[in-house]
Amino acid sequence: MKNETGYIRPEDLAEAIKALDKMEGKVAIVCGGAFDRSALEGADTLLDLQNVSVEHEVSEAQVVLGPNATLSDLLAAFEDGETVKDAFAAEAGLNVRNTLSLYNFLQVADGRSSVLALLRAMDAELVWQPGGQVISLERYLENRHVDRPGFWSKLSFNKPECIVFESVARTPVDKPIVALAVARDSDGKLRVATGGVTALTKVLQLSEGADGREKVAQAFAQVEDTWASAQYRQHVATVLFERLIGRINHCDGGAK
Amino acid sequence: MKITLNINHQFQVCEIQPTARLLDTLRELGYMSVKSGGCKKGECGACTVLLDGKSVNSCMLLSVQAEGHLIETVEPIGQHPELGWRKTKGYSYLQKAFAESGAIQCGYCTPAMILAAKALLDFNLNPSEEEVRDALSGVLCRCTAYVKPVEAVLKAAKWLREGEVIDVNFDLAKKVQVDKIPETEIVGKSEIKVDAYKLAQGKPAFTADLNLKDVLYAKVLHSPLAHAEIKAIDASAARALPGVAAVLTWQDVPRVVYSTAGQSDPIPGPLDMFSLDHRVRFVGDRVAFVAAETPEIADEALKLIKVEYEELPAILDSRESMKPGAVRIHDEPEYVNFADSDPSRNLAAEIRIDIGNVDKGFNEADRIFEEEYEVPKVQQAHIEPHVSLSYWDEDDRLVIRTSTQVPFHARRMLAPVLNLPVKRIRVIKPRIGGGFGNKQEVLIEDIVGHLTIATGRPVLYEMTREEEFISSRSRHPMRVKMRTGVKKDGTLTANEMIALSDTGAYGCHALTVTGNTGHKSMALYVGDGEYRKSPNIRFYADVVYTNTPPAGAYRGYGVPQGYWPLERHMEMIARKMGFDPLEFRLKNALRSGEFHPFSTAWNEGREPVPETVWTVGLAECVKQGRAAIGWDEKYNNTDWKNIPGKPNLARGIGVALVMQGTAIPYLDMGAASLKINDDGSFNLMVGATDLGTGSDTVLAQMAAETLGVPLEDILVYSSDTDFTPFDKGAYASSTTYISGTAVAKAAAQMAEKIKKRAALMFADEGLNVQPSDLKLAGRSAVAPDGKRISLAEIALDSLHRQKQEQLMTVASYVSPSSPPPFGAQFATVLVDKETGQVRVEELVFAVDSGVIINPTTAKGQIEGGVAQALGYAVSEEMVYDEKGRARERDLADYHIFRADEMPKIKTIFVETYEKSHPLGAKAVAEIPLDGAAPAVGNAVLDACGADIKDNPVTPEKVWKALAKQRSSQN
Ligand code: FES
Ligand code: FES
Repeated sequence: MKNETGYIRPEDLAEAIKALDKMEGKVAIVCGGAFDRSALEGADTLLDLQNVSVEHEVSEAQVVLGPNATLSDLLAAFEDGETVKDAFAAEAGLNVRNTLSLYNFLQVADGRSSVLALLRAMDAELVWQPGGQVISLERYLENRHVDRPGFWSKLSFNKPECIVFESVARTPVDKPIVALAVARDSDGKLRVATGGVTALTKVLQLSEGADGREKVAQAFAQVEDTWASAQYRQHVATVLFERLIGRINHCDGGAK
Repeated sequence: MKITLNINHQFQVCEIQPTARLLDTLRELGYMSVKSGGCKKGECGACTVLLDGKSVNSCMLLSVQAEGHLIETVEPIGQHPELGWRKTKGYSYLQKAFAESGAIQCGYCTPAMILAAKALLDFNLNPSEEEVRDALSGVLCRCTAYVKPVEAVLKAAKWLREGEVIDVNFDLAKKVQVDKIPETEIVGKSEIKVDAYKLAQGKPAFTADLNLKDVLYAKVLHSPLAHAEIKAIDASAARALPGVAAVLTWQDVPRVVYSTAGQSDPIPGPLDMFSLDHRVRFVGDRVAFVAAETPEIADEALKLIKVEYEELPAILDSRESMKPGAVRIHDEPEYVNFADSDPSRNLAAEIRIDIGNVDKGFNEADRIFEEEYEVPKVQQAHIEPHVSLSYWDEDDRLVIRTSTQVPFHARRMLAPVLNLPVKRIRVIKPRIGGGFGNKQEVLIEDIVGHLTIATGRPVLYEMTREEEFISSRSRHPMRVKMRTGVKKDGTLTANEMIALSDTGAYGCHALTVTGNTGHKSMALYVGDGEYRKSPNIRFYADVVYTNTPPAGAYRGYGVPQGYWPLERHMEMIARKMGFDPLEFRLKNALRSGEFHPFSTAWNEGREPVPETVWTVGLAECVKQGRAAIGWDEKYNNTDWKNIPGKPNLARGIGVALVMQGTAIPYLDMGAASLKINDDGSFNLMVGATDLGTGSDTVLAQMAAETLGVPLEDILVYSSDTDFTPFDKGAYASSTTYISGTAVAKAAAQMAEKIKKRAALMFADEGLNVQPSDLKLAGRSAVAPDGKRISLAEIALDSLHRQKQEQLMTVASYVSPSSPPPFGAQFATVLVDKETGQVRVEELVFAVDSGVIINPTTAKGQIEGGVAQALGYAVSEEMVYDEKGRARERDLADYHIFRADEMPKIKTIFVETYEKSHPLGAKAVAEIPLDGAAPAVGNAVLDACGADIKDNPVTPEKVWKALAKQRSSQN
């Protein structure tokens, strides 16, 4: 049988990077609560990042959270915005929101996640360690299952001028079949993240006033699964999009 | 590695694997209040603890991560105020509020709920209802609909604010008495459940809470294929893995054909299953059993078993099962037929019931309406998974401690399978964390039994949540054709239901569930006028095998499958013929004094015995429900239906009338025994199985009523095949009625014995009274002149002083009748016509369940049942791909309602007095499952015209129906 798995809990980021550098064999990053423990299988060492979290920085303009922050911490970063609350409620009940770390959330969240749709609409960024390189959330999501040493140590996003979210589901907090998050920045540009299907669809960038209907419908053109047909999703996506545009024009859903 | 955990402010050093889950470590340390819902990935919240004051799922954390943090469990938050000479601070306000409000049903989620509430109240003593619902949103409860837990938290907050327990009144259902109900002392009162405080403290009351030394952990290898022959199976590598104690394949266990349906002997269904077989018949079927020192080793061993399958064609659509040339699912020579089952045609059961002259009835109709409906496969989703623990006792008897609704059936049915005589098996049923019919199945007890026999050691098997979905039982999906003849005045002349029921790979409950579909739904509408005397009703059903997971018993037992088509159909007829939906239904509904139409024609494969229905509170249910939901203000009122400024939204209102049954006449038997103790308290031993319904409490109330003692003087024990008398178990809504009558009889006999002895004792004191002159009240036998002798004195006299004897009685009961409860279910919905999204706003259920023995527990039964039916209405279904693989494998995809999304639920009791029960009761547990789905379907139709024929009513179905409607209008 394999030797017992080792466990290290570094005191800070520098120590964590140093430890990572020195470790041999399979290292599993442990960081807050997780749904999925498969990463631990066969691990030689567990590297616990619970002390590596940055202090949460929530200002007028920006939110910065560490990997150990939970979904509840993320929700608390929005001072206002009932629609954001709905997205979090649809994501999970309070226990999971209190337990699941952003680190582990971003490892597993798929296109059915309403909170991921919010983060994608807000163009969140991550700081990758070692090295401190800033990468977009989109890039991280594309590569998150590639086995490479390291971890992200910071998630940040600029608070959009307005963020709105709408979804359709069987019950009020069931996983959505179609979801749309739209963020508008101060230049009036819109970022539209679509959701409600497992696979991640591309985030749409629209300039103010552009007719996004077509593009949104297009995003769901091939999206057919046992939960809903593409035809239905396309129709509903355009309906939701129009509603969201109506709301965003009145900025009903400010993130600040 | 060694870590130190701060648990409830006590530091505990423990030796763990670094990958150990906090949940598992806490349970190993004895914190049994922390439960596993089998998901171990954050879906159910049963494993809640507080970490630094916040409610978290302990299955999502490693123990090692928790070092340096404060972990809180429910154990220290309150306890019995008097523990002998030691007085304690007593129960916490939260525990009191949960117990007194009736927030505890099975109690499996209770410690988690209490902790989640504590986390909220620790920093917010004045929460809004929305905040309470959010706080509880991480803990799934399948029993309560969260109504009472929310109420309990709000009440506890109030008590905490005031610093004392004030205003202990909780919201009770409205009660309307149709018949005169005799005055009672204990019966009819909202007594606190006898097990409430034990559950509120998180005591180790459930099957898996017994921490046996030397226990092995069982795991099961499941088939990845829907239909296949096992050509070869090599378990040598698994057996060689260190820590593996046994691996069993079909070659290792006796080949005994049986049925897993926990029913009375002879089982009314085919015997078509083996503990392990060389044929697998669905994805999830059993292939091998493993027992190992740890669950992880057992999992590892499963991966090492090499199986060579020969894949066979699979039937996944019930319409294909009986087609010529269809692959035969059961060709084993051991197959034992029951009634008309015919495995050569993949037919597990066939039902043909004709009442009256149906063809003549159709000829007499002015209009005939035909339509097809469909109901899905759904899961019981009890929060405690199936769990069994077995071990040899010191007398070489096999003890099986198991979460079962049917301990006595389990013992009888397991004996041949395990090759043991009945007398060498003891089945113990501790508390059950919900069952809803799925534990009427003897589903896993054979697994632990075989493994204990193979290893000689205790074996524990707890199903995972995924296993619950792929390999336990479910509600039969059905395709149903309705044909109804109606006269111009609204009189039904004939009613026909033809069902194709899918039993899956095995025929457990095939006949009886599907029989109920017709029996309990089609009996409701008999027609009017002359047709009442001789209704024309037809119910035909084919119950077929497919290569999908077996269906079985699910609360409602076939009846919800009947009411979706029936009540959707009745609505359609009412609308097409321009009748008021309520009047049309009541005009044709069964009335008091009429025969239950099916009793003249069918009795679950036994001789039918005609039965008159005496108590029918249906009209009053309609009246009360109609008023409570505001039917007259809402129905056909466009001002209410339309939402100003939101043209995409529309409201609708719907109704469904329902009836159920109460036990199975001439078959189901329950028994009870009573004995007096030195202090005048009583041990009540029942074989009946309280699976969270509160039946232990209700039975104790009945005994207390007759014996003139408070509830606390009745010590209920249920159930253990060695100690408690036989009972068929908890199913068919029979406990209050059947077991309750047995209790009432045993109590009446006990009262006689007490009175006799009391009369002798009065005579010793010079007072000449007849036993019949005495009454039992206030813990005493009371003479007509007011003189009294306490029960404690009587007990001491009988046990120690003169003509010593143990006052003890036993009684049993089998009923000649099955008086149906009736109900009127109303629903209002809000539909988004652009997206098809449906939001149920309110559900009102007015129910005639006879005399309500305990209003709080009965209301809880209704609320929980209605919540399950709400899932059936809008979200719950089990879907399979073209290979027979389940889409729903967890509680994320199989969404059950959470605390923060429930609509308003209101219950009204319409009390009739059912004379066939000693206290006038009928059943309450299953009827709430029947009406919500069709009422919601009818409300959606009312809102927007979308006529959905197959539940659940999902957004896309509504959208498509509306699109179809628009295109037909153009
Ligand atoms: S959430 Fe932990 S066992 Fe289900
Ligand atoms: S009382 Fe909540 S799951 Fe049973």
